[in-house]
Amino acid sequence: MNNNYRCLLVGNANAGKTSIFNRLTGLSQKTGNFPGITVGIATGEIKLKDKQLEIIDLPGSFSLNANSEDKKTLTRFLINRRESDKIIFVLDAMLLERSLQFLFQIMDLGAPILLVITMKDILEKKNLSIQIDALKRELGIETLLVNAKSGSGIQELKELISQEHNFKTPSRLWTWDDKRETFLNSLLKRIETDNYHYLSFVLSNSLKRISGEKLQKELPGLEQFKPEIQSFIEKELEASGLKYKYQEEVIHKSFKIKSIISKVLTGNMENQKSFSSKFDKIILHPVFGMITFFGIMAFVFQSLFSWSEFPMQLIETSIDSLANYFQRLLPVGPFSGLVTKGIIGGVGSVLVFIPQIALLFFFIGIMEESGYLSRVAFIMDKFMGRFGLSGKSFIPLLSSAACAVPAIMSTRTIENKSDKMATILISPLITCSARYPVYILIIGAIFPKKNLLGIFSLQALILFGLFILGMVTALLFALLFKKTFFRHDSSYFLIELPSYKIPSLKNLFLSVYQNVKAFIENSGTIILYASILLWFLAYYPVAAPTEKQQIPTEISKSYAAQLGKFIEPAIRPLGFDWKIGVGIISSFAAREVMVSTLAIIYGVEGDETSEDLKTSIQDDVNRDTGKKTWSLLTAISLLLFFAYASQCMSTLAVVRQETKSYFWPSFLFMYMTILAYLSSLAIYQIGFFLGFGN
Amino acid sequence: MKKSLSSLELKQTAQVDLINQDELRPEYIMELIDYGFLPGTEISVLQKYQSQNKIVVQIGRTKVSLRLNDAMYIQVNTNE
Repeated sequence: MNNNYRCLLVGNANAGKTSIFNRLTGLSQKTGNFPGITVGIATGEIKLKDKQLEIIDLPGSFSLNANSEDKKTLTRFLINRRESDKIIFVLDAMLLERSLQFLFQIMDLGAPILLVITMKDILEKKNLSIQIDALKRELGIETLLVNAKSGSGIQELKELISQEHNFKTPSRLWTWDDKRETFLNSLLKRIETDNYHYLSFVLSNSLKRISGEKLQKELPGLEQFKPEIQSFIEKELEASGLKYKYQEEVIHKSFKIKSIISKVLTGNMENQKSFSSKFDKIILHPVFGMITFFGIMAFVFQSLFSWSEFPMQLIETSIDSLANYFQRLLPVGPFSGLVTKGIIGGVGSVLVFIPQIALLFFFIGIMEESGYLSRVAFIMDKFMGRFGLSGKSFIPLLSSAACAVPAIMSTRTIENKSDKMATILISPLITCSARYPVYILIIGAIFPKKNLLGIFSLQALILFGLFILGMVTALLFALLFKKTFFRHDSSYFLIELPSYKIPSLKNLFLSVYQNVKAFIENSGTIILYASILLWFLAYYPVAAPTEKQQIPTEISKSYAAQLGKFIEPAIRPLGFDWKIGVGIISSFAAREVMVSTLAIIYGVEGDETSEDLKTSIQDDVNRDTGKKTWSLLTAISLLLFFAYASQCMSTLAVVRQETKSYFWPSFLFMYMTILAYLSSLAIYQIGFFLGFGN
Repeated sequence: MKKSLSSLELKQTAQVDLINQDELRPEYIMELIDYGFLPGTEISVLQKYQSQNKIVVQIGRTKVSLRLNDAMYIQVNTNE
């Protein structure tokens, strides 16, 4: 008989739930795919005695009511759980009352449960103690005190979860007031069921909804009953004149919780108010808080670029060596081109970003684990409010500076739906790392290497200008979206400021590992296919390359060129010829593909810093006009196009995933591409009219 | 004395009285309830910045930050 089962970890975000998960599963964890669940959920396996258990780390929350996507996912998962699933509830000892409120909600679901209390060390430090045996008796479930950081108690936890009978399904511990409780019970008796526990939960939700409460829509309610029972419940409730309010429910639970706490806790928790307040006086201060924040940001961005330089070079060199190795190994011909340029070159262009992505997640991880990230949302709220958003949108926008894909995924924590949507729609406008290779190539080839006022490099200033342009445009579009599509839904800000904690290295390492893996899987696959397709379009139908030259000399007759020439009339008013057209088409898969496309078209080897490629661009002359293909005005127009166009399939795929619609990714693609086209058209035509065309 | 939460001074303590259901959105109110904003619960002001439109309060063991223009609609009882 199969006696394996899944254990679902439930609890609030800062309770040490993920630390327990990491302790139990180690590196066996992966991001699981569950039907109907879009938010990435970590799962891992653990072998205990004769059992192989799957541990699932569900998103942290304090209730089943919050409206953010990650919290809806939690409810969805719990409601649709398997019958054999068990719940390990992780409770923060220092937030006993709030955590017990959530535990009571989870108990209402009627699933077998086991309680783990964390922060043993802090309890001891503050001279507080929880009588575990008394708590077990009060709650009617197995309870264990652990220290997730040091690992103390984890072995006992493993012992406990390996025995199915340690998970108990307690009866409801709290009651409504007499009138409501009697009414609820009379209804329960009159509706036939084989699952009394679950029915009680669904009926409570139904009564609250009929009483006008806007519960999270994932919670099962009236729709679970047959129509005749629905109208029976509605009529009965109306006749009774009773209302079932969420606040009332919380108050009644609170009575019971307070009585439990008075029996199990020794020491006074209310007197423990000194935590982190002094630190917050600086961190949250309008002036000092800003200075601290910008100081940290300057350090993060400086490190993001300087620390990643060496590993990026190392990856680049390794990829080049690998490509050279295969070039020598394989006979000259299209297949060699496919392997070296299409596959290795294409996938290599994604791998090279790993150091930056890893560092970004490392820093965001530190800020999140330490409790600083909520403070950033706090200090940026006023500024973001000017553009109709809340401080919570700032973090995704910050992550967009590396890559819009994880940024869009991080909008799951924004409760307000219109804020979340506006943030998703503007994130791709922020200058991401995939734009830099294109910017660096164009700026390096066309703009002179000179200093302004003797100190500022012109090329660096243009790069910085493009970054600011992305940021400003994103914020202006946020305002536009909030005044149009989402004008009925104003932004709100309510955030918990968790106590400061020292980040755990193990958690940081695992978070970086998971995110980098997801990035490679998402972007890598798309770029691999795009590169193979591009290679095919650029090589065929020309004659096979000769022995001496692997780059086809007649690329101007390839499918890619035909495509480029086909769209040339549409892009000529922007100052682009068919070669740039091919680059633009290919860059719709991913922006950085532009560089390798131009390298293929000009028949040179190398990346954005390659002198050969830059010289080819500088020397390219349009055969029809006899003028340079890449004038200064063309370069500006192209930079603007790349700043605004929606050229990233991974981003569109993630928007589709997060919004569960085809409309929003289509809209995102259209608005950005139209914006790009019109901006480039305007700048080129105005520039041309003013005589800057040459 | 009944007052709005936004009018409390720094370090002042009060008890939550009621939340204005007409001015605040239902999901915002639910969140407040989950944070422990229940009638009679003690609440104290840790920080208040008019320029940032923010107030940081402690409720139970939890520190929560709100915009002052939302805190206006939370009524509290003070011992004054």
